[in-house]
Amino acid sequence: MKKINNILIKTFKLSSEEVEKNLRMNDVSNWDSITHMDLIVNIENELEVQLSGDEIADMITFDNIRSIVSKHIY
Amino acid sequence: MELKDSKIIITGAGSGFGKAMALSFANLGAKIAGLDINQEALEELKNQNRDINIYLCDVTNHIKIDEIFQLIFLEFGGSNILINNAGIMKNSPLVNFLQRNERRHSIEMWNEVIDVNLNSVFYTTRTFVDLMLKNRCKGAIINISSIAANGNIGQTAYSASKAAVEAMTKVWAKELGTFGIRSVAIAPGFIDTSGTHNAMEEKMLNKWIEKTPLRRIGKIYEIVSATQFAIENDFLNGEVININGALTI
Repeated sequence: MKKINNILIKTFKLSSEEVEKNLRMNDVSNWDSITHMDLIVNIENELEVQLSGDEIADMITFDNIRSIVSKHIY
Repeated sequence: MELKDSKIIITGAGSGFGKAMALSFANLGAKIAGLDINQEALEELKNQNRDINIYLCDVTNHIKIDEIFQLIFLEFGGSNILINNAGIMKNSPLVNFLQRNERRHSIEMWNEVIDVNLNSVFYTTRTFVDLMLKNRCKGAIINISSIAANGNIGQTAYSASKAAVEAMTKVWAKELGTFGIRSVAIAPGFIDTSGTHNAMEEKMLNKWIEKTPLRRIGKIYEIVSATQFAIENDFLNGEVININGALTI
């Protein structure tokens, strides 16, 4: 979980406290379709996982991201 | 060329750069034909300066452009400056990972941006130059480009349209120079207009400001003054004037 949170911190330039919350796309000012691509690349490269198209489209809250990515790495 | 003696056609004259140019150049004595798709915006422009002639025109309609340009040349006894300013900005990644079904950049959005920003410039300029040559007018075509012509993330259509406008500017400079018709592009960076503020959130705008060596966005009058320079300098031809505070994207 810490690894995922670190990727969220790096991608969205947030503090560790902020990524603990279940923020949604609208809550994060620089989370748009472009930074979402950065997020996916960071997750796939750093955690060595491959996400499906539906999973990528579902990853619109921090809790969803943690839940979906956890299934691949644990 | 003296600005005060000019007869200037400005597309997208109802707001932003176009409106500021229309009002500023009219105050300096130029005769202005302002075109826009928004009737209310045109009437507001007219209310601010009764000497400006206004024309309701969708610049993506080449038949309407032909009619209105012929009317302007008749009413003004010719024209020697065309400012291709009308444009729209629409953003989308080439493939949007957040979309579940059709993730690819919409063809409708592509066509709309190319139609308004690129095809319109081709439509207006071919008619304008034809009328100039028939009337033996010399003058200049000023195309409003953008820093995005260098390629901006999330702006496939917009960047392509502006890069193409810069290419046409260089073609026309070479092709029409012998007739005394110059062609110049103005490429603004981030400028303090309602369009800029509508297109992006303040936090995103602040990030661009941080990347700009001058640490600010530009003012509308700085684009107006660059355009005035392009009109008045008779040896300027085929150039893209970048007004962006040295920002690179």
